[in-house]
Amino acid sequence: MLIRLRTLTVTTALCATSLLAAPHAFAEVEPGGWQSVSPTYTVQERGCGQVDGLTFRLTCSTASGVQRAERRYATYTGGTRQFEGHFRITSLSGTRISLKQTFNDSAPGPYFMLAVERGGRLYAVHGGSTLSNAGTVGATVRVNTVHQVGVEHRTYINGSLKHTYASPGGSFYDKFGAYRTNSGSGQATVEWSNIRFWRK
Amino acid sequence: MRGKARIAASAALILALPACSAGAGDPDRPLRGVLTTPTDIDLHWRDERPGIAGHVLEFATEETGPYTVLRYLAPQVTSYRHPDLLPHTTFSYRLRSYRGPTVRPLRTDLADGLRFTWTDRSSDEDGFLLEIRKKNGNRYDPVAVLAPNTEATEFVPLPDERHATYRVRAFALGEQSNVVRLTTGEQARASRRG
Repeated sequence: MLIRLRTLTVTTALCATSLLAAPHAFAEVEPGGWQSVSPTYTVQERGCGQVDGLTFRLTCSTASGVQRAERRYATYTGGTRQFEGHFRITSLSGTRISLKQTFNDSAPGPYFMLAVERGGRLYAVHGGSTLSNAGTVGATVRVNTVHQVGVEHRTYINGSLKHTYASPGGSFYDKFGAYRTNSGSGQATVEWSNIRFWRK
Repeated sequence: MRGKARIAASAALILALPACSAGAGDPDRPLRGVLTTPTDIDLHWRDERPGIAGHVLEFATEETGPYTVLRYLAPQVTSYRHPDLLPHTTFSYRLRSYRGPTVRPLRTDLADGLRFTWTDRSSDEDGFLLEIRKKNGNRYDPVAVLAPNTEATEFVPLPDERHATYRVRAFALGEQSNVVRLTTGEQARASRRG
């Protein structure tokens, strides 16, 4: 009964807010002073990696060497950054392919790496925790990362918070595409869409 | 026929007010939602029309989309919890039904997975669903969505899925439900995962 009352209170308060406020849509998540930005990027193709617009392919099953097809965005220092993108894996005969990285340019090294195993498990490479099983072939998955430099890095999969990670200060940059992790192998094709960035 | 249904469905689209005012049992508003905690949304729906093979639940954080599929759901499923949501964000949800026949695919066991093949006998499908009925289970649930005109797929089963029964459905998306819109609140620190 108490739970129901609490639920009702929360719902009523927020519904009232929604009804009184003019219709609006937040383009970004965690609203509050976000400014849309368009960081520059370079395309990185290494080994059997191929980039065609927002389609990223690893065309070989090699389990060694650097196999990379990614966009590398401009370095940022300080503040809070948000990335949003949708990916769809259209083929994956390999496994343990990195899809999105937040790279620590000060350390340097990948600070956060979201990867997929064959079968659809999305996981954090550092620590290995499972974020979701939504990364199956053919499924479109939305990713938001919110990075408060020097505080915390949060990852949302399909709108739900799935991973938090303490962040050091320093310089970072975003990467996404397809990249063979140390324990991974190709082949893989990943299509990204609706890429957006914000800062505050 | 499917095109006409889509046009009619679009014309009939009703933008629902948040859950507090969404009428339970209203056939024009089959989808209802409630903010159960500041960052958890529970969705419920009712669709008793014959021939419905399942529903696709989608969400967006902008009124105009893009909408992202949360899950393809068996017809017996009538609720879904969207947990640990982005704080202070307006979520929009909509539901689409789908219909379509199923076939029993040819199954081949591989070293690290299963391979299924079948013949595409439909001409206007929106895609194919690989559906699973686990051992001792009483229903089929979608586990993979495949592009139209597909006739083969490989699937990596979880340990309890290798001895399951599988079938493939050629599905056609139907009408779109009302849209439920709810705004989340503050995120509870204790609920975070790391």
